[in-house]
Amino acid sequence: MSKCKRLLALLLVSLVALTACNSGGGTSTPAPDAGSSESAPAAEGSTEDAGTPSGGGRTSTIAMLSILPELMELRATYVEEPLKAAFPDDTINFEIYTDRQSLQVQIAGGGGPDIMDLDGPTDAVEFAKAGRIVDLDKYADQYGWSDIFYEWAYGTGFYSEKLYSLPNSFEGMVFYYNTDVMEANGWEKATNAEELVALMQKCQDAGVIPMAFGNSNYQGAVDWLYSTFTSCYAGPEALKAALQGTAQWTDEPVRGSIQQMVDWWQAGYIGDKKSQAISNDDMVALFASGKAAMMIDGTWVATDLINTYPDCNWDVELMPELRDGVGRILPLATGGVFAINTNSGDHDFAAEILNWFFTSIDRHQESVVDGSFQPYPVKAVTADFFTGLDERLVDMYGVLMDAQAAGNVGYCSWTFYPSDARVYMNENTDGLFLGSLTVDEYLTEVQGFVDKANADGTAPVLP
Amino acid sequence: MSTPSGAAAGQRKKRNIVPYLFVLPAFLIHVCIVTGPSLSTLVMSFFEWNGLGDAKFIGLRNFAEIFTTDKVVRIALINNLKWLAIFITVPIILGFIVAILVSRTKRFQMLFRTVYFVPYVLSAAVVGKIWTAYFNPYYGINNLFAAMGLTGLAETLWIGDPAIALYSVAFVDNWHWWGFVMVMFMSALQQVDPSLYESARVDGVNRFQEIFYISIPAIKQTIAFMLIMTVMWSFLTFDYVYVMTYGGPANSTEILATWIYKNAFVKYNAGYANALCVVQSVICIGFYYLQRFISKKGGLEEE
Repeated sequence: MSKCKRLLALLLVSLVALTACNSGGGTSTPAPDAGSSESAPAAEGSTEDAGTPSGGGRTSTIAMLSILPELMELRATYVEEPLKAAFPDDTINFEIYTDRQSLQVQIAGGGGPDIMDLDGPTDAVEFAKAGRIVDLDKYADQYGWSDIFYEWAYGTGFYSEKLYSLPNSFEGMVFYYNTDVMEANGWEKATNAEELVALMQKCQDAGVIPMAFGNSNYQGAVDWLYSTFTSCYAGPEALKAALQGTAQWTDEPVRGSIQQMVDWWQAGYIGDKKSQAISNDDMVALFASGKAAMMIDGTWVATDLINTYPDCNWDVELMPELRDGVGRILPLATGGVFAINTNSGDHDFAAEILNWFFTSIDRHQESVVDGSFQPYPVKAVTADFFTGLDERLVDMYGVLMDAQAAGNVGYCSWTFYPSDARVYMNENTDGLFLGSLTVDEYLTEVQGFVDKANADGTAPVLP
Repeated sequence: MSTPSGAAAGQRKKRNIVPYLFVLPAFLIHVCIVTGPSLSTLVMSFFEWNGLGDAKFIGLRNFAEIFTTDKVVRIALINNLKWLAIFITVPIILGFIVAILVSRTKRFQMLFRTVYFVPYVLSAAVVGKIWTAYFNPYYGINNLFAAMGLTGLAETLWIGDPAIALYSVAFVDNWHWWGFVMVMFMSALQQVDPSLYESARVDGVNRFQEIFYISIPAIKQTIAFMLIMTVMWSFLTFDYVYVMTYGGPANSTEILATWIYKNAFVKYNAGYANALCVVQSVICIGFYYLQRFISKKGGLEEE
């Protein structure tokens, strides 16, 4: 019996040790780059559909985030089927995940898909820091990616002077007007802060919420607000200096931008002082139903407005000029990014697929026009790319493209702010609104996170 | 060649091994999926780790941060204690009283049990979303209060006011939970020998004396079990806060579990999240033994 106990004990110790090793961090060995170097570049630098690649018999798995079930069918039509048709001799699998943490756990465990759809450049930096995604410099040279993408968007994929991710959408924060409400009350659109304050006061006098806002389901939605205020009040130059650490966040005009956001929230102009009690969906519903006249929201919500509230008439403008001399600014961002998993067995094939995504422009145009996908930030996407879309969407993208062409663009936090600074701001902006935190306390903390990111080289690259 | 006494000893050994062989598969599975990851959590709490890459040993620095600089941990601990205070009283008392009342009903007893139990079978996500809609200041129950002329209630931001948001979420969890407590108490009450009540009535005891001198002592083990589970669940709770407020507004509903989640998956601070898990476990174990001690002293459990 004592021998049996000894054996059992030995077995248990081995199991415990094994379990601990397997679940510990940083112990998995990345798969070697086993990709075939024979694979030829597909339609290098081309803006037409990529050709059929050479070789065959290769396998790749692509993981894509999908929150809405209805998007699955569209994704199959505009992404999955054309991709499989372009690589008929290879096996390409799609994994749809609905939350990022499951992907994170897979990757940490040494597995995961070959190509990952990450939330944005700030997330990609964490994966790059951990050595979980592949340095794409070699492929960028091979496929000429630097010529395909808009420079500002391409730059967001760099960490420690190496390219790790490619942006797969671009978006901006814009100012929505419910034109039914505006016309019914005889109100004019505002072009500057003074006019906007006057308009918001008229709204309140008429019992209309000036700007809809809600974040009870996701506190981080405040980043739409502070990204807009810092970009449009402080201005791109001042904000860039603060983000790069050459100016202080506690100094004007960045401090003023946060103060104005807080003042307007506390005056009831933003969210009717109830934004923590209603969700993002409620926010859009209040706007679409005419209970609110305006809304600061992303370009992505336009499609929802058309599909969910077809009777609502609305229009999009750039945010009014919030401070004299700054002009009307479009806070710009990339949406998600694609990156290649270090654990992938075939980096070359994964890169070839990425190249196909960004060079199969006819297919991409169909996905944007017919499937309501967001456009890639590639140079082939110009103003006339959107012909055939709902007229309001064409106008909106026109606003976006014009601002981009004119250089009147600011910085959205989820693309251009250091990750820790953004997390802090997302968690604590409600505290500013509710008075549990002062603007100076808040910005002092932000300064600390920005300084740390600039010191350790994790701050995103700014155009 | 073995002697007869040696053969008998061998038989005894075989008999002794057999029970262990039956237990072994479950034990191995437990080691692999519970003990192993638990030990891993303990080990990783001493590392700086973003949840993806290599971990760096930093000794007790995570714990030092928890107890010195992290202001949210203090808020979360206090909220967990408030949660515990609510759940160790309201659903236990409500469940017990309703169980007594329903157990005395002759007709429709199954209907009452079913109706009270139904919220428990609904998922936290569904219940949370439904009540979030009820708490909406524009189209929820506030409209009802306004129609009734209750202006103060009509203007209340149930999940938007930091002073009351935690209690609103706890109310919803209670709404879902108390029916389960009631059914547990009812099941226990039905095991009580009816002759005890009959004898007591012959001796002239009233209804309240029946409850205090027969019902409660008879189901004390169920009460002790519910108290122990409530203590532990109160520190492990996550779902309702996550679905309804995500810890907001301004961290006012933050609890340890949501703070652990945010550190692990939002802030890429998995090493720190592991340290928080260890602290959470130590608190749970501490409260478990404290509760057992009090239950024994109070006569709810055998000494």
